[in-house]
Amino acid sequence: MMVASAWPWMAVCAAEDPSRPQPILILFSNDRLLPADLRLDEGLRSVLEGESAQPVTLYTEFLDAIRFPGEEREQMMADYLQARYVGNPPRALVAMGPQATSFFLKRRTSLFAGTPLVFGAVNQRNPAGGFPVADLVGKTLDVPLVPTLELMMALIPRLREVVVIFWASPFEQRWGEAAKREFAPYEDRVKVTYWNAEPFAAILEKARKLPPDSAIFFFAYLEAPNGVTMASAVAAKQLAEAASVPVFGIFDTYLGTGVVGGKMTDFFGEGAAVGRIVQRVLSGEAPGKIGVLPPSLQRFVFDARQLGRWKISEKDLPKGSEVLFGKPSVWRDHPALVTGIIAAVVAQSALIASLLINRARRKRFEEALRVSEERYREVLESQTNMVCRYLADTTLTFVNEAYCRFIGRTREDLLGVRFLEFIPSEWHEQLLTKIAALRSERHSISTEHEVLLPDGSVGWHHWEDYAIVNDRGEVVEYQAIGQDISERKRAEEATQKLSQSARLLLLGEITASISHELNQPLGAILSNADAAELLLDRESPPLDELRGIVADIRKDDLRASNIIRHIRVLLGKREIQMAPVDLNEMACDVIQLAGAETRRRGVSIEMDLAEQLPLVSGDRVQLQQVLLNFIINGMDAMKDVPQNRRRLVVRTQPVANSNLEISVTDTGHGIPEEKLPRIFESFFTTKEDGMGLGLAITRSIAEAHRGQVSADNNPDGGATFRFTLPSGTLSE
Amino acid sequence: MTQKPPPAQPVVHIVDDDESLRVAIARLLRAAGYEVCCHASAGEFALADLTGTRGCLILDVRMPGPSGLDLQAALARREDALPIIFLTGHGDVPMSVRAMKAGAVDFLTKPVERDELLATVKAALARDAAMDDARAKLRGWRARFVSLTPRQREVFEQVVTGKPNKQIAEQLGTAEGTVKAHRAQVMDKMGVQSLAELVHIASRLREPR
Repeated sequence: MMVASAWPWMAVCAAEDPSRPQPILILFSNDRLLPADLRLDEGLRSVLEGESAQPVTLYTEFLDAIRFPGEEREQMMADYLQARYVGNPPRALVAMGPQATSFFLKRRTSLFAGTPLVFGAVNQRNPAGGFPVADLVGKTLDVPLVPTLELMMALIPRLREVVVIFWASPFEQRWGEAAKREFAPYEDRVKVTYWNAEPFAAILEKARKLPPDSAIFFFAYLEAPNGVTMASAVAAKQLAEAASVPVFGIFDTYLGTGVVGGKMTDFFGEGAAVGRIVQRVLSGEAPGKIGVLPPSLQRFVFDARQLGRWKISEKDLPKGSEVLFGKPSVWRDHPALVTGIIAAVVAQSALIASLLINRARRKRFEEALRVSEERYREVLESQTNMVCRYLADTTLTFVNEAYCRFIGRTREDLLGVRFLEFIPSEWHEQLLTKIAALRSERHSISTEHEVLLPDGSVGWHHWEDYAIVNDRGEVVEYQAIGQDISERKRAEEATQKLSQSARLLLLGEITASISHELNQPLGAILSNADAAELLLDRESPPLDELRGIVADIRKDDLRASNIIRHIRVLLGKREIQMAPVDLNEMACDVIQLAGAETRRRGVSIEMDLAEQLPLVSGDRVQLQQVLLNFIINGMDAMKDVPQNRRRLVVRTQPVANSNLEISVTDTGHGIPEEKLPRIFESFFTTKEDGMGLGLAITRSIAEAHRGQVSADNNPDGGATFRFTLPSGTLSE
Repeated sequence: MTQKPPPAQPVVHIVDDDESLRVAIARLLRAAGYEVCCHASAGEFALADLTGTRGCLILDVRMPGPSGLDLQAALARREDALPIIFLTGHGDVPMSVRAMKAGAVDFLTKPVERDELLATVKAALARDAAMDDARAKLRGWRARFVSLTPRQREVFEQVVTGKPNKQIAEQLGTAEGTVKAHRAQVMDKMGVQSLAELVHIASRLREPR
């Protein structure tokens, strides 16, 4: 079988076997460790390995075309690939970068003939290989230079000179030419100098001595005039360290190296987008139907530490800018967790940024509507957000290009159709209620819901809807702006699916580091007190030493309370991801999560969940933490109760003032009445081995959700812990 | 004029990077009547010249630089290592198992109760004293063994295997009476009355140092 599969038809047979992973060959134009390649690769993998219905095996190869140019070397690479994959022919080819794309195109009939090709990371304005992208499948990207120049002029008062740095490779030279062309119109306002002829050491030396009214525009550094090659991100780091003025850049791989920011290309996002095209190709969609996807919009991205270093205020940044590395985070100490939620956080920040943009733009849309329907349409067509207008019964009257693309239907198929058709029926009632509410609501209402995609899969959208009102104040129709948030939802689901033990372990790790911090001062306080007691028993107690002891106890006590404050600040400052949460669903998740522990402790859990509970707005992870804390507390309280009487009841119910309550009732020893009022204070514990922190953290979380926690004893023994929070999702 | 110094008092060494905790524990132990010496890191302790001193070691697990467990492993190579009490902010089970397996006296968690700490220190010092006695005995036995003649050592080695004099004499190619005489000298030189004692000493002498 393996021997015969050199024949193309055999290759097809092998690939068609659904139990076998589909081999995909990815060829990068550049070096394996180039940061951009790493990010592209991560993006691709996140989709192809993380989301594919069918297993795939990714093979990655690198042309390294800048360092190994020339037809002869290309042919060697082709021969090598041919020989290497003869027994395992790829089901699809992915070319990342112009050189890789033209490499495959030149060999369409000789190398992996008939295998579909998807390209990515090719600039729409400057395709290096000179190939027509029109009849291909893939995605172009845009690397705009001017916005970053304008940004520098806006952010740095009295900017007189901009130094543009690029070097000797043909790739950079081409870009340098583009920069000269595009920057020429600005040269009456700012002097633009190009450094592209010196070795790196000389550049660093000159950068050290730049006058304060200048700044650096760093394009790339792949090959110096003397033939030295290095990764741009490495060069960016050295440059930013040496330079006496701020350095701006245009690729997000530079962020974190010391570069201030810029209008940046998101390589991870590009990789992921190409991955999704590959999925469509694999699922058998016709290449002609897919075509070439237009560039994604670039984002303004900044490094908060550099903004601080150069005294640039975040207020002055363009609207919708993303600022990274801003807040200290408790999770930074827990890399395992970071890897788990990073995707969700990034997606969330991008969403928030774009919603902010939307809000500002909405006003302008309305204005434009009156001025010119035609121009309005143009604006909308350039959006990557979905835009639609509809009547009260959800009949679509307008859809933009992005809407068609995300829903996977043509405009003709969509207009006049009720959009509820594309939405799973369980969401209908909620959406119709929303539309009814929009009649009287002046603000927009945001919702997240599922959508049915033409390939039968289900995606997630986030929509902001609002009513369009005519001169007489009557609602004419509704307009909505939406975003595809399937990726974020998938990341959230992935986080949810972390195995129970892994998450309990995680909780344990966090507890471990906090308790280590706290036990130091607590241990010192205790030993000091013990020492004082021994000294006081002496005939003539050494007063000076006792005074020293009391002073130290005081000092350590303050230290401990500082740690608590610090933890609270950290908890408060973590990016809270507010989203609609179904308390019942959340409770089921937590009970399942705690399942192993409850079984181990011989505790039975009963659920008493109110039906038709409205959603609440909250951070799912934090809400879970509160409930988990209550459950663990309850189990601890029942340690001395006979096993057959260890019973927990988890209850959800609506309570006064349209609040919702989730409570945990145990059959344990209860809480001594005099201790009840202080039970949620830090360091207060009724347990032998308790630190008195769990419930204090619970209270912090409750407060962050505008809710409260309380505890009381049951008439028939045991205690009940309650968490009440306002119902309804927050809009705006 | 000069008096022989009194037998050195055992010293409790504290190794912890947290100054206030270190000082507090030292205060408590001093108030309880112990001689105390503080060290801010594993390295500092390892550099101090403690040859021949007796006492015990209270050791933090997590410290910048080498951890308490690292120090324990390094000290274990020394013959006269001090017994170790671990004191940690948050000890997990595998960590304490590792420490106890490597011979720690106990694994305490901060904050530690006075009675528990003092009792553990007492136990550690008792263990140190016992180990010191055992080492002193061993040193004595080694000295006695060295004083045996080559022939006497041969007889010693045969006797402790439990062979009768006659068989030993055959093996060594000598008269039974000669063996008997050597045997008496061996017992005398080694300062033992019974064969059982001699066998015990032989097994201790064979232990790796």
